Parts: sequence; C-alpha cells; structure tokens
Amino acid sequence: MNLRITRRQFLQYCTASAAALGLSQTDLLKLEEVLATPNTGCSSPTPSVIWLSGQACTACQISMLNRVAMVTGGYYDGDMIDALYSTASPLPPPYPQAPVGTGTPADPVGLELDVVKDVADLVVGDAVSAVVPQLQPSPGSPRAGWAPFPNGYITLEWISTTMAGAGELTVRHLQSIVEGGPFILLLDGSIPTASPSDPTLQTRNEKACFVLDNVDYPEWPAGTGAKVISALNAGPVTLANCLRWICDTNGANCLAAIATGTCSSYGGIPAAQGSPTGATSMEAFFAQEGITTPVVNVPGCPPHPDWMVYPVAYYLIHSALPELDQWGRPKAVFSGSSDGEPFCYDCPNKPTQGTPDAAQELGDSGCLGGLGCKGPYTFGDCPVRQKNTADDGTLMNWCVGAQGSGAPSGHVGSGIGESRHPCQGCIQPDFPDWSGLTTFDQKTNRKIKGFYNP
Amino acid sequence: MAKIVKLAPIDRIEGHLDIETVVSDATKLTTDAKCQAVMFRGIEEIMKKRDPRDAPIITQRPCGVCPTSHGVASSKNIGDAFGFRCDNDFVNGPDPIDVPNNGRLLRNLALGCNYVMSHLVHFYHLVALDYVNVNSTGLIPKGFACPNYDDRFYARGIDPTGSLGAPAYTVNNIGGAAGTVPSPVVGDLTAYFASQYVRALKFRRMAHQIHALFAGKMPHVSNFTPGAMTNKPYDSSPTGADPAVVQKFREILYAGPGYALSDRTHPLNGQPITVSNPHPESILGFIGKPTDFWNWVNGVSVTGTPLGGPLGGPFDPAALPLWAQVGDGSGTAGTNWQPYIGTHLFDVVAAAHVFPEYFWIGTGVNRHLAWGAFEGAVGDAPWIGTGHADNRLCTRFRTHVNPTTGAVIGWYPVDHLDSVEMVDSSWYDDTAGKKRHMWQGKTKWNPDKAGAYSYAKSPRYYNASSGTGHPVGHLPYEVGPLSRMMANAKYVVDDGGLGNPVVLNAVVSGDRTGYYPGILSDVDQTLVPTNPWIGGSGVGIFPSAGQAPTDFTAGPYGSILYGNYLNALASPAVYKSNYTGDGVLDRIAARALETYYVAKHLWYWFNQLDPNETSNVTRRYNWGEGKGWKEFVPKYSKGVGLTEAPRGALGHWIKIGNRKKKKLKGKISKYQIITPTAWLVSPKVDAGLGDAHGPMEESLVGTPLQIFDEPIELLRIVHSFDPCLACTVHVMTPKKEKVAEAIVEPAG
Repeated sequence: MNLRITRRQFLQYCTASAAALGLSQTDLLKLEEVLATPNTGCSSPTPSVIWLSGQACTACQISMLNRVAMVTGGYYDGDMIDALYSTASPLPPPYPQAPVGTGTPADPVGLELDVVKDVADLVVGDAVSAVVPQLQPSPGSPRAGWAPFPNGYITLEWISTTMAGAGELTVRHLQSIVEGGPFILLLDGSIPTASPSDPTLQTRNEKACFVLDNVDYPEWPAGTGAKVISALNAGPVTLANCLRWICDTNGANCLAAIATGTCSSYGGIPAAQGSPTGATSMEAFFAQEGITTPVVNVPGCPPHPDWMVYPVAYYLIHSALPELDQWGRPKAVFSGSSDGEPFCYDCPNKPTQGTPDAAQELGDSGCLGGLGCKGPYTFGDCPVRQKNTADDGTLMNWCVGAQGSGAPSGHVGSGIGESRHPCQGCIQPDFPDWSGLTTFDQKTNRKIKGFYNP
Repeated sequence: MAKIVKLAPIDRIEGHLDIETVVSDATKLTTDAKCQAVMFRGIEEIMKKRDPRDAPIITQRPCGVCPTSHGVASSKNIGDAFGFRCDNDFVNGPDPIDVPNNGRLLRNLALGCNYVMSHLVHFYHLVALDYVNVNSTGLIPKGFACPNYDDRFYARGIDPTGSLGAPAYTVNNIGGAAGTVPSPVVGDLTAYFASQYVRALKFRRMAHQIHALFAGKMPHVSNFTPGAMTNKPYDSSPTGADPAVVQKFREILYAGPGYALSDRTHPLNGQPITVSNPHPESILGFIGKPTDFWNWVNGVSVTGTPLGGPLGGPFDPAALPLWAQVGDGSGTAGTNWQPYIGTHLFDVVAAAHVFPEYFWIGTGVNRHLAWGAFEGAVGDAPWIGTGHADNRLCTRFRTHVNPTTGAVIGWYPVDHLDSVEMVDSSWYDDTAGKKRHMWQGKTKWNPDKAGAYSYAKSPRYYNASSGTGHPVGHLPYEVGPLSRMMANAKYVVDDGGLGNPVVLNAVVSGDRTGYYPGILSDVDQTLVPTNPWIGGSGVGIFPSAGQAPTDFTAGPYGSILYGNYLNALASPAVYKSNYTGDGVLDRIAARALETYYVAKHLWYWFNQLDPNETSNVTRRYNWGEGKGWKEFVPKYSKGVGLTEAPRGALGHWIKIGNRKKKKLKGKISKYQIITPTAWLVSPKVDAGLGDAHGPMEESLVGTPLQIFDEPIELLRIVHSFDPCLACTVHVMTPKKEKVAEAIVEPAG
C-alpha cells in the first residue's frame, strides 16, 4: 500500500479543512515543521514491500484489506472522497467539486471529518498529532502503544492478488525490486520442502508450490524461451527456489522477512499431522538454508490487520525490528491481554465469573474449557482488540465473544455480537493439532501445560 | 507457425494458477489452452483421523476468500453424517432431528455476507483493472495497480460527439482509424473508476463486519458446528429497543452511518430510507438497483421521466457526479440529466458498453451446474435451486429409472452421485481413464507424472439426456453465478415465463419466491433464448440470443480498439459463434445481479431470526443424564454437504470410521472436497466421449490476441470465472509409502 501523503498534499488538505479541524495558523506552522523533519528511521529510498504467497489460502491478505482500506492512497477512504470533493482538492480539475459538510444540504451524504484521525494513525503518527489535538488518537484506538511514525510510509510493490499485470510483466517487476533493493518481504502460506520424516522427498515436496515461470514468452517450441531472471532456473520456479533467490542470493537487499499468518510463522494447517508436502515455516526454512534475514512471526488464522502492519511500520521508523517474544512474535502485540496472562483474564466467560467448564454444550453460557477451549494456552490481544471492528469503532465480535458480558479485567468482554465457540489458539505454534487432533477434547487439553496444568 | 503464450503467474485471482495457450501466427487465434493449478497442500490427508466435529474448522482453511462456503458445506456434511436434517431431506418431510430454524438462517446470513464481500472484491479489485488503467491517477496504491499493459487497451473517456451512436466510453484506438476519437477525450472518467475502486474497499470491508456478527470473525468463521452454529443472533432486549446488533446490521446493510431509522431520509431523493431505498453509504446503496441502471440504459432519470432518445442522448461530462442526483426531467438533449451512478451495477453496465465484444469472447462449454444454496425451512427448497442447464435447456430434475425394469421411478434434483473425478491430466497416479465418485476417492500425489499438468482434478457430471444437443455421458460443466441463474431458468429464459423485465422488477421488492424459486415442476423446461436485459424502449446493451458477432465499431456498441481488430481478422466467424449467453460479460453481469439479490435477501433472513431460539441442534435436544454432544458422533457413517460458494457448486463428502481399521472408529477416515474452481479449471480428459477441456480451457480456445506479449484478452477471460485456486484439494492414499522418484531437475 502506498500510504504516502506528500507534504504538500497533506498541508493543502489541512488548510482546506482548517476550519473544520479547528486548526489555527500556529498549528499549521508547527505541522509544517514536523513534516519538514526527515523521518530519521528510514533511509532513502523507502524500502519496497513484496508480499509472496506460498501454500496459502489468502485469508491473511483479505484480513489486511479489512484494514488497508482505511489508508489507501495516503488517505482514509472516507478522506479520499472528502479530498475529491473539498473545495481545495489536491487533485487536478476537471474533477467535479462538491462541498463537504456534515449532513447538511451542502453535504447531503454526511461525510464525517473525524475520520482523519485514522489517517493520522498510520500515516502521520504521534509526532504530528501531538501538535494537532484534533489528530490525536481516539480512546481505544488500535494505535495505542505504537511507536511514533512521523513520515513513514511503505510502498507495496508486488502482490499477486491485486497487481494489474500478470505473467512475465510481473516477473520482470519482481526482479527489479529484488535485485535493486532494498525491500521487506512478507510471506503468507507455508513452504513445502524437505520434511523431517523423509528428507529424500525434498525435490518432490518443493514441486507442491510454483510461484512463477522464468520464461520470456511467447516461445516456440516449448522450453526454448530465454530466461527473464538469469539467477534462477528456466521454466517453472518453485517457491523454495524463489525464496533462495530473494533471501539468499539477494539477501543483502532483504531488510526483514515478516511471516504473516500461522502457516508461514509455524507451518499451520498445511503442516499439520498428516501433511504430505513437508510444509514448513519461514523460520525453519531459513534455518535449513542458512539464510540470516531476520524473521518476525505474525501468526493468526488469519492475523488481525493491525498486527500485520505493526512490524512493518516499526521497521520503517526505527530501522530495526520490534522486540519479539519466545515465539518470535512482536511483544507489543502478543504479550497477552493483560500483563502477560492468557486470554482467560479478559474472557467474558472466565472461570471466576462462574464455575470453570460451565458450558456443557456449544451455545451454552460460561467457561468453554470443558469444550476444549485453548484460551488458557493462548497469548495475544484478541479479547481486547477483537475482530472486524466497524468503521465507527464499534466492537463487533470475536471467536469466543459472548454478548452482554464484561470481563473481570475491566475490558469489554465482547462486542455487540456473540460467537461462544472455544478458542482454537490459532496464534500459537501448536495450532491446529494441540497434541490431540481435535479442538474439542477436554481430556487432551488437560494434558497441555498451562493454565489448568502448570 | 505457432507460439506458446503463457501467463505464470496469473494475478488478481486467489491462489496459484498458470495459463498456457498456443496461438496461431496466421489467424491470431488461440488453438489450445492448459489451465494449471500449481499449488498443493493435501488438506484431505490432513483431515484423516481427526474428530469429525473439527471438520468445519480445518476445511475452511482451503480458502480465505470463501471460507464460509466451506464451513457451511462442512457443517451440513457432518450434520448429514450425524443424522441431522435440514433441506437435505425436504422431500421426505420433517425429521425428528432438525437443524433449528435459527441455525439454518444464521448459515444463510453468513454465506450471504460472504457472497457480497466476495463479489464486490472480485469485480473491483480482481476484475476492474482489466478494463481501466488507474495508474496515472495517483489515487491507487502502487502495489494495487502496477505494472500494467499498453495504455491503449483501457477505457478512458467519453465520446462527446455521439459519433459512436451512444454515450459510451471510448477505448483508445490502436491505429487511429477513421471515425475514432483520440485520447484523452473530454471528461476522463478514469478518476471516477479509481474512486469506485477505493470506495469498494470500504464496502467489502463492511460486508465482513456484519458477517462477523454471526461468525465471530472473518476470514475463517469461528463457530460452525454439525448442527449449524453456536451462537444466538442477539439477546432479546428487555427494554424493547432494537438491540445493538440489529441497529448495526441495518446501518451497514442499508440505513447508512449513524443509523436512526425514525428520522432518516435519503439524502438525494428525500424519501424514507428503507432496504429498497438504501443510503448511498451502505452496502445496498453502493450496489445500486437493477432498475436504476436500466434507467440509465434507456435514458430515464431517477424520477422516471424519459429524457429522449433510445439511449438518453449524450452525456454532459462536466456535470458528472459521484453520487446520485436527480435529473431535471426536461427531456432536452444536452441538459444536465444525471443517472444514478457511483454504484456497482452502474459500473458493470459501463464495462459492458465499452467492451461489448466480450459477450462473444470467452464462451465456455455451454453447460451449467448448480447444487443449490441458502437452505429453506424444513420441508422447503433452497432459495437458489439445484439444477443444470445444457445448451440452455434447463433440467431441474432427472429421471431415475429402475435398472431392471427401466420404469421411471421418480424425479430427483441434480444428483451428486452422478459426478465423478478423473486424474488423467493431473499430478496424481491412478488407473488410466478411472472415474471415481468422491466416496471412493483414492489417488497418490506424483508431481512428475508424464502428460499431467495440473494439481486440479477433472470433475465431470453425467448428462443423461440427448435432447439437449449435448452428448450423453460424463461432461465438463461450468459453475458460478451465471450457472446458478441458468440452472434456475433465470438468465436466458422463455419470454413468456420467468425472465422478462417485469418479473425481475418484481423481485426488487424482496419477494423471496420471485427470483430463485424452489422446485418449479417435474418437467424439463426448454429455454427460448431471449435477452432479459432489454428495457422498455427495446434497445438493450446485451446482445440478442443467437446474435452473430459482426461489426463492433458502430451502433450501440462503441468499442473501437478491439472492434477494429476483430473486423480486420480473416473472418469474423473464426472467433466465437453466435451469442450463447456464457461469455465474459455474462459471467460478470450475472455476478453483479446476484450481489444485489443476495444482499437484499440478507434483510429477509435476518428478520426471521428468533432471539430466543438456539441455533445449534445439539442444544435443542436432551440426550439424557450425563450425555452430551459427543454422543452425536457416530462410529461409522458417511455424509454429504452441498452448497454454492460465491464461485459455484461446492461439495464436501465424509466417511467416518473404517471397519477394517478399528482406530478410526468415530474419526474421519475419508474427507473429500470438490470446489467450484476444480470444475472450472479442470484439465482436459477423455471421459469416454473423446478429449474434453474443462470450462476455462474451453473458453480460452479460439480467442483473438492482439499483442502476444500482452495477452490481456486471456486475463479478462480467466477473471470472469473468479477462480479460487487454493480451494483445490485432493485425496491421498492413507499409506505413507515412499514414492520411487525419478529425480527430475527443473529444466535449464
């Protein structure tokens, strides 16, 4: 995503909306100063971001779209419409102009201006909002606790799911980024390669995932086309070979590798018991190959979009990766609902609110431990951040959500919806097997070290 | 002289797909095509030995775009194996163990929300960049748009002179032939399309938000069970006020931000906001209404006043807004009449105007299959009915005959037992020519198998009737929104019956029986092809049935670029035959219409929810002291769960237990999934009637390519199917034997 606002565009926008935003001239001057300060965390040129897919299902990318939409083109999409319609639109004429208002005849559609706070959340950052009170994060903003992000932006250069071109066009583009550098790599999906049970199957296993053809088409007859990328084999290129080229051959250009989703973080479902393809996590693959690119795991099936954006944004600001926990995940996001405790502390069904394992059947109220809930073994912020939050900030639901219940921690136990399903622990390395081959077996649960069995 | 033109990777799809075509230098037409699914996980092997209740959790993970469909199919599948009934058993009447009404409504709501999200993301973020180049606007994030093909392939502005005979958008002319309009033209609408692209990101996100109300989270629903779902939709409110979930659902679906129904009027037409008159900032507001884009086609303002001319006269681009505005109704050509645009349905019509040749390009096998979806109440049929349509003959039922006497013993809906899979062109080992039903699936992964080229298998369905003009036997079938409409006699239909504009209008009111009826009758229905899109003035944007492809540069069709190219080919007849209703634009149009009907129907299902009823069958029945839902798990059973993913017919099959293996008692011994994309991208096999391509391969053959290095025509065809490759899954032999490999190094 190109989250960039040029300084000029942003100032134009602020100027145009100054009255609505309540910005004084003084504020605007301060804003200009801040924006003039180069982003010390980010050398020029800004690193590109490549998002590759392995043995993936695309949920991670769809989940990201549930967030990215808020900041495309450098604007929150509501702001996009705002900017298109404001009387001082940064876009060139003859694009039609219309007044912006708040549900008045001048603005019959009623676009709200406070959406700009979310733009600031990811694009402008704390440094600016410290100057401009109206840009400060709303209470409960997912940005709470994130590092300042003054002028940071990323350019998502290569992502198969949304790129316009196809085939050779995109292969050449990938080459220009990888061999030109610098870049950050995102990977969703696992990597099929040598399996621990039978390493001799490595060549076969790696054919379980091809990502591109290294051929200058059209060709005739088959197999005679010239290579596009000289450093790769001709013809179909496996994910494994592509990663070797990206992170080993061109490792100097690869600043960081972010494993988005449980599959690339820990193997996930393609690597679950019974897997025939030697599906492997990015970290394990790098270890196998001797690749030293640092890896950040952002698990989840799929992860919340805020989790995925965080390490990239952090890197751009600090030129370093955030502190990681024992499972390679950003501590700031995954350290647990409250003070490092597992989900139970913030769960609306927490045992101390009633008897443990109170629910006997799916759909019952009360603690779902008896139905195999993995909450006691899962550390993250799902009960607090929850899922699919509405555009106006209304908390909607999460996997274990139970309506009308608060959590003893004081956090809201659920959004307005409910689900009441045992947590499957999808952000932990043990997902999905958990030593028991079923979510619902409580006997197996009791054997897992953790909350019930310290 | 031939050339291989291959796209690897195909972008703007879900998953890993390569397309290889052979193109003739002389005719410029593709003569052969291979669709290659090039990623494999073996999910079905991973399913073995697990508790059946885990099936909906694992089987959603084949796909993050349509996980809900897998969850619904799996929930129905294990429910079937456990002995629960919903619409599976409607022919025989209610069964004592019925999925609660709330459960099937929540499954419908979840699936319907998934349809809306998937269809919106498909048109705007997967398809639209085939037709519009938004790179130059600076409005789209770089990674979402570039790199791209020659600018001349894409739509740009409006023809202000009307010399093309229509207020159409022009495509930049590749050769500057006479009568063409240079680029850029007045009123560049690229920025409009770019803003629609961005707006659509919000509305598809909103579809996931309401989906999460029922599903826990999206993607990957948390809470499917064998007996439907775990949750109650909302608690009844003691104060009688609308619970928060009802308000939020209304707001997002039709009422707009800051829902307060009692004081909300539509900002543009001043009428009360209802589900039929939705706020522009709601999902239904963004989708638009079929009647509105008809009005545009016919040059009628939103107030209903005709504005002259069959197509309403030329646009005034200077007045073109994003939001709907009310026309002045004067009827004078050149005045500021403004159609209801900024909607999904409008954008689809715009694409059809600029690229009309794509009604003829990308036609497939002309056979359509639907398992049906959206469960009716017990004893009632699904909202989208089962059926298949062959050469526009819509067969809702097939005869079952006594194999001994030959007597007809009944009429049954489309039968999954008539479908098989073959692997002759797939990277799995099996006896040559073997056809397996999913309960007998047994294959072995072999990526080095000679002659194979895909990880997709070849599902084939048995056509029993020669009256269709198609041979009797196992044939490839297309699936998807178009196929659902065809199979339900709703896309190209008998003019005297079900498809004329009046009936489509009636459905706008939300009448659930009007559009996708259940069982219609016991007889095959012959469809007389008629253009269902013709508006009141008689001139439509869609071709007439059987219309031959001729001159695309004149008349109501204004595509200069490709029209000139097609006209210059050796003979117009060398590319696809007369209009059959299954071209690229037909698939896109059917999907857009379905988006509208499903989104509208969400409100109908939502209103039937009972806040006091459970949605989960296991809680509904008392199984006795000390017993719980574990008792439901049978030791030996089999089941099937059929539904329709956004992309088409989806089936899950399960076997629980294996009498030869005691350890598998009560566990999954076999689990197989046939996804819609397997039907669509299936490689060529001989099922007894000679080699037959799958639907997508068939649609790619015979395509004229303008620039072999930039085969955008192939992309447009592929994208019309909305392929989802990660869904492709395969059965494995349970034995973990070593494969005696010939280690083959990659070529080169």
